Amino acid sequence: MFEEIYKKYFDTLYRISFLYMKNEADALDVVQDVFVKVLNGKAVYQGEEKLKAWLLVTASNSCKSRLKKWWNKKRSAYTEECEKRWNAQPAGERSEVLEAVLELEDKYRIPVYLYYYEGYSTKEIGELLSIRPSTIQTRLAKARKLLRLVLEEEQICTGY
Amino acid sequence: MKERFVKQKDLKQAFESIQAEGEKKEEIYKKLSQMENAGGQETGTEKGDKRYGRMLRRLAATAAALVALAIPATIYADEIQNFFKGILRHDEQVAEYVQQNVFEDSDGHLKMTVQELLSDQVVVRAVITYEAVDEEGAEWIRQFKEEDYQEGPEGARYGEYMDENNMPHSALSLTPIGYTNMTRGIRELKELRTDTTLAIQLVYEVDDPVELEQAYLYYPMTHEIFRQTTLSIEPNMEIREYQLIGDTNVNEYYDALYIRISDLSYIIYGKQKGLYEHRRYSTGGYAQRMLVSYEEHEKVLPDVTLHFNGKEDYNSNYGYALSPVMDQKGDIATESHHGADTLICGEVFDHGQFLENSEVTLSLESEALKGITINGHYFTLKAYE
Repeated sequence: MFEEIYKKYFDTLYRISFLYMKNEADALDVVQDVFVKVLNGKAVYQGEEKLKAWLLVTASNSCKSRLKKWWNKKRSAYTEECEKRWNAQPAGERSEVLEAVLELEDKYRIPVYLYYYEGYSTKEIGELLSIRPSTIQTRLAKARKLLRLVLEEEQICTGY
Repeated sequence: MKERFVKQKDLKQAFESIQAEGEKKEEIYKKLSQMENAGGQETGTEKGDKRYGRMLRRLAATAAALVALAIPATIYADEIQNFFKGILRHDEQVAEYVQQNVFEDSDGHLKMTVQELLSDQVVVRAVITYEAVDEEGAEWIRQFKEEDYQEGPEGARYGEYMDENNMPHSALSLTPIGYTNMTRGIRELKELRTDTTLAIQLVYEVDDPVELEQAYLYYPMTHEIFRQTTLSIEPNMEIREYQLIGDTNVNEYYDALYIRISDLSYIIYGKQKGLYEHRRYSTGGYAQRMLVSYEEHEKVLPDVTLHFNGKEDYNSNYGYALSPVMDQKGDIATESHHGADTLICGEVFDHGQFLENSEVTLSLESEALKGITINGHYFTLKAYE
């Protein structure tokens, strides 16, 4: 049972964690912590969709909590992995669009991921993030504008 | 010319490219499998979190599902008020600082009062009390468990609540309004528990208090998971800021410029020289890149001794340090920091003990501060006008 859940949701959890933490080491820490909770019987097993929602919310909350802790902020800011990522990653390895998405604030980045990749509706995202669906709609609209702006700034958007 | 729009397909591909290395995936699975076989032990990460996150307790889902009891309502006497006087106490000096009867609320079953508040803006301590107004309130108090409201090492759990900045918070917590790095926690003062009364201490501390003037207090009532109010956290004790006069070049990575000190905490600010750099995106996103390694950063923490008139020197062993000072938008806030851009050292007293009891230790006599030595450089002080 656990193996099945792990295989099925590892990538999903890694993606949302990475979108918050922006580095592999911290994202993997979060993923591991979420699966520890699953092992400890804290997950909701009332249907697959509910389990997925639980995993996403738990990972998302875990990331937010880590980001707000001063000691963790420093730790993640100062680690060499982080340093390497800043210096060595980008253009070649990450797509321009992903770079642009990562430049968005959390409040825009996460709804974009849940909406465009996970396929949740604005109502569902609202429930997942405890935010009004109308706010999600506004944030998605703003995110699209910002993405266009970033892509233009990076001279990627040349028009056609 | 038609503007290119970000296509859904591009976004999908972008997200699809976020992949952990296969090895790492396997590695974690092995670790978890071992845990599963061992019946669920802590991971190294959790242990580490516990070590660091002492004050950040866990909040379990706590839909205070109370059953209305068919017992006649009981009204409790006003004398109870006196029972809660003087919780945050250690000596006369503290008594002088503590602000009393800060806020009151009731839902007809419970009366919640912010009895006391002590703030130097860096460390803020409040004591709130619940008193039963009727039997339903008394039952709520009997059911109350502090662990239901404590935030854990992992912070937010299923059932936690998001504030307006979309940050998770416990249904019982005190949180500064504005951008800051902080730690916080709650602790019931169990020695004050009776069948009808309950006292809880809430504490938070921040790295840098700039522009923080208010805090949210989230608190539950009998039939509501949480209510929210705003408390002023204006300091109720003297805060002193002194320019450091001397050779400011105390380190190759930063100059020391000034100290902010109260009887509860001090922070030394400076100007960094190649310690980190910033990048601010047009979207509002913010990033900071350290230019020295983590190990190097640990090495360059300052060695600080505070010198007092008529009192022993104080040598600091603990310092949260070396972070940029920022305003509420996340921009470096040199203007509000007398030209400094970096917090180079700070210390909050009572750290670690402050949740354990309601005694407040005023370790510093900030008024008597006469000088500081940083990395062997002695500074005299000049108050800002």
